[in-house]
Amino acid sequence: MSRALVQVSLFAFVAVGCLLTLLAARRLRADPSPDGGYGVITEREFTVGEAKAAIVHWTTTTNHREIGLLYIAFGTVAAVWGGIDAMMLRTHLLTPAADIWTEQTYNELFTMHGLTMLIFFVAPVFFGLGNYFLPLLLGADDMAFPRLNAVGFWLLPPALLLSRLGIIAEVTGKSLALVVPESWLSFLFALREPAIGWTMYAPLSSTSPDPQINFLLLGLHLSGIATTIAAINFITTVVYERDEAIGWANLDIFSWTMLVTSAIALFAFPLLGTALLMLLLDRNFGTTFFATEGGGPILWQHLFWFWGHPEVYIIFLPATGLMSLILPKFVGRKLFGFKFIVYSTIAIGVLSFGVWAHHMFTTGIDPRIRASFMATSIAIAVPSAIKVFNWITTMWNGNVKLAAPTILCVGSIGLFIVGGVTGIFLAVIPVDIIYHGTYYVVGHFHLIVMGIIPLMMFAASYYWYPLLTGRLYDRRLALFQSSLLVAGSALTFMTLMALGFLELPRRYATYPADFQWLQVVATVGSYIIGLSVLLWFYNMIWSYFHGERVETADPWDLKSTNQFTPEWQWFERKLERERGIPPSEPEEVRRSYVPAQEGKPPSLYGRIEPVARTVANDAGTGAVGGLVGTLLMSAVLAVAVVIGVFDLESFAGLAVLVGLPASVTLGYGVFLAGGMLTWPLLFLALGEYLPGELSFVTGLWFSTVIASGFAIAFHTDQIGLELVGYLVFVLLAHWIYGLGLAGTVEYLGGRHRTPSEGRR
Amino acid sequence: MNAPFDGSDGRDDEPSETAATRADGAGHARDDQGELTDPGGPDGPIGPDSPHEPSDHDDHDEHEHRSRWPLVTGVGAGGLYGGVAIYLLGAAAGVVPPRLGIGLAVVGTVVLLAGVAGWVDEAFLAPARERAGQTKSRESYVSTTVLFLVTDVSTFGALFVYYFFIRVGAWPPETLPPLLTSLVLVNTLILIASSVTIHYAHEALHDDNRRRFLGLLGATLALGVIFLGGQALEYYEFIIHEGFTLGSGVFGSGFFALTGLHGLHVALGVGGIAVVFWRGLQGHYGPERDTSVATVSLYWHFVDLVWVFLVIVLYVGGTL
Ligand code: HEM
Ligand SMILES: [Cu+2]
Repeated sequence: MSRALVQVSLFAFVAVGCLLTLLAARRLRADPSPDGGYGVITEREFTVGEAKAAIVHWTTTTNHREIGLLYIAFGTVAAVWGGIDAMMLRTHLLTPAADIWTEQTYNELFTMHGLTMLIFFVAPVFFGLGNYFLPLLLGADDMAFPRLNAVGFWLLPPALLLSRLGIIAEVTGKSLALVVPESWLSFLFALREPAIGWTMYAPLSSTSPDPQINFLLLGLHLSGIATTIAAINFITTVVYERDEAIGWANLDIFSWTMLVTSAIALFAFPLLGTALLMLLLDRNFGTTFFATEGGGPILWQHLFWFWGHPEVYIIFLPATGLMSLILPKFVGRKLFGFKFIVYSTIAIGVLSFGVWAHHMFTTGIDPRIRASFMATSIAIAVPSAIKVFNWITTMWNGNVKLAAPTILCVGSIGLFIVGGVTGIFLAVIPVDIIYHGTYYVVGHFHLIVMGIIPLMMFAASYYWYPLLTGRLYDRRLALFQSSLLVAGSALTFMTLMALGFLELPRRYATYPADFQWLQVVATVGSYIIGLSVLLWFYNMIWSYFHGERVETADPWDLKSTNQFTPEWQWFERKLERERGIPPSEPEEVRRSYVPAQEGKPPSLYGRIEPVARTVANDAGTGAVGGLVGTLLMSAVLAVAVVIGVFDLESFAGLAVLVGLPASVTLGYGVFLAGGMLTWPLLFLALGEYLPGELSFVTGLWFSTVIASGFAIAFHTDQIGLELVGYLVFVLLAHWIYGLGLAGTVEYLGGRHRTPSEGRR
Repeated sequence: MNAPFDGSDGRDDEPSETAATRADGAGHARDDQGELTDPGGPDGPIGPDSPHEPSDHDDHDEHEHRSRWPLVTGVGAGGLYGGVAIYLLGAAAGVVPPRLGIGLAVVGTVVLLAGVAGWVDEAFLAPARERAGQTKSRESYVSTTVLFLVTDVSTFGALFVYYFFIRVGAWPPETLPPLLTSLVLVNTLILIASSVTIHYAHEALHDDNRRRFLGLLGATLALGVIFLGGQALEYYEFIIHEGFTLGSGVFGSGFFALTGLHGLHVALGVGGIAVVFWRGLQGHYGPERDTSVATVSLYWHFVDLVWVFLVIVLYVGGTL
């Protein structure tokens, strides 16, 4: 079976299916329908002139909402393409031998599947959503640079074509070969889809002769330029185009995440761009960037993952933004701990640049470097966990409504927890050494890249469907589709985790026959995902013509919980203007935002300063509290040392853990820093969950929990009575620490509820 | 409608005209006479407190502007990238004449430049010609330039990392050509001098000293061109006389990539200064209208800074 033929047929199947649904829906709409009276689009064929006008319209638009739709359409095409790759990969793995397609084909598939999904699907869809909704949420007229915005979009189609020219050329060649002599087409057949892995590791990527790799590198470079342009535009929009009424304190959560995402992209993508061109030079002009005598293959890995890990967060953060935005609307409660979700987003943004080497634990880099990357990688799980806790607490006691977005939100929280926790384990060097090359890694990241990212996109598509189309989607179908999607994702990727535990190596086209039944289960799961995606397409297209018309701008009943956010307010004005639908329940319409600053908007400094001040205040209070606590604690530990139940040398172990030389002084420094930074911040963040205000009680509770970790980490070889003494002193020391910390924080008046929390 | 006793004969259109001007954000230009001396020209004194678009978002759907230049730019970029790839395909596999790729790349570049020029003209120059007030603050443009420079740090970063990777290894990796020549010294002085001249050009603009402004800007432009000439001469010496090329070894890769990338930046900067100079000649700038002068000079200082860093680590650091 020719791979290209299968792929093209599947693609055509999806495209033609959508088109037929569209035509059928239009035709049926012409009949007098129960919703009667809205025969605006009468049934007639598009004339050539109209088609031309439409093409001109869509290719020259600079309107942020239309560009947003273009982005989303582009991303969807890429998703279908990458999804077909995935379905073929899973199909290939139905049998242990490579007898459906060849090994070469399998390698090509997983290479281009990864790149298409990560680069051409996720970021464009999120940027599309951002384009459409950010200006509405911010009360801006448009993006800061509307034409540049369009430039950013129009670089993407050529980038995708260049990157995937291998398959396009093959198909074109094969079809043309039917009419012209094959010898004319040799240049088409010279291109093959690259089979070098999505990480494009040298030396394979720098020495493979396939000329399509050059096209791929150039295509990726072009897409990187597009991403950078979009990122700059988002940042300037959020900072400078906000309505006067929207200050930093009441900036919505989705804009926050897009802002941080753009900031990460701003620094990550240009570096990848240069690295790609260096690889191109290595391949074609005899440079030595990634050759053994030059920078070596390891340099490629450093540069690649310096982009690659932040990229992971570039695609993950907008999904968390959508979750934080959508979930509260369906549980009737404001987002819990808004401020800390913002902090954790910023923390992730910063930390994401400091963990890249955890992808390289098995490459023999310096063990001290490895250890410090292990520490940062474990640390980066903390802000993600903060988000999860906040989401769960948002639902707690909420009025949870059964709707497709709810199912998707709850489902992805669950999947993300598994994906995230398995990530923490991977960040531990000995675990990673075992699992790095296995399906465990594939399971880990797919539980995130599938478990939360597309799920949140689907949730957004349902949530905003009324706003986008003025109609409601088919709710029963949507419920079914979302449940199917969550179940399919869980089935597929949990099975991959299981395969990983059995240490089945990844990236092989063949496998021992023992694993077949698990592989079949995973494949069935993936088909379920595929089916649910088709149902989604159907629902989106069909409802566009036949969905129930919205008669209110508040289909989700957001006003009753004071969550009628600016994009819906915009929609309300639009409905009133276009269809004369008056705002519903006008007595409940309120100003959803209190102006944060009056008078003229201050300078950049003035804009950032208030945020910085709150952050600094909290951090400062925490640090002072931590210092007091840690010093008191040191005194208790000193007593323990004198009595002989605590070994001072264990501090040296702490220093080694973060990659410093084994020294008690350095270890104590680390201990002090941790006592002043990590634990107070955690305390301030987690304190949100404790009942009542921060007080000595919460301090004691908190310190008791962290004492258990300390007791394990600092245990040397005490046994018997010594051990009891050790434990008692550890507990005592921590209680003192907790009291000192909580007392100081209380004294300095930390954790005042900010207005932003009150409102959300 | 108008009050009948207005007494003015143009009463029918006058109020609406005022309204239209206000909607543009140039509410201060009320009549034709005022416009000549109006400070609110192309780079008008738009601070945060200048009249913004009315904050009525309902009509923002209607203010449509469309542009064909983004698509042109995209097509051009696609042509350039595709052309390069086809050239490489031809050079490696011989299935297409490499010249075909070069041709496509050249056409693509021209289209790309046309797209960018059209966009710049439409977005910045046309409003300037029509003397419509700028709707965005000067600060937002300067900050956007800073954002761009941040991306540039990252662009250069990858190459510097390569260089540090090899520099900490056995050194020198091969016989190096004479790096610290008088040419480099002169070129460095020239570039630093150009940073000074552009700074004082900007100052002169602030003092409303047009002649001085244009003179110093012209000098900057000339210095930039001379620097590029010096770079070309250096490349010529190395490639023709020393046989030291991009492919000639571990150091050559880093050297030509870094200086080449920097040279590209200088070339872009020279282009930018040329545009600013030309607009200066047209009288587009004034003490309060200096946004593009500020952004271009920021960029130019950055390029200068990168060069100094480059000289220190690559030329001096490579020789030591
Ligand atoms: C909770 C925080 C996370 C931690 C501690 C973590 C940790 C890790 C580690 C240590 C690896 C390397 C495994 C190996 O190759 O041996 C890895 C791989 C990976 N992770 Fe995560 N991760 C986290 C979150 C995420 C997120 C949010 C995403 C995606 C949105 C993600 C996507 C990936 C991908 C794509 C890979 C595989 C790279 C490859 O192809 O080799 N991870 N993760
Ligand atoms: Cu990572």
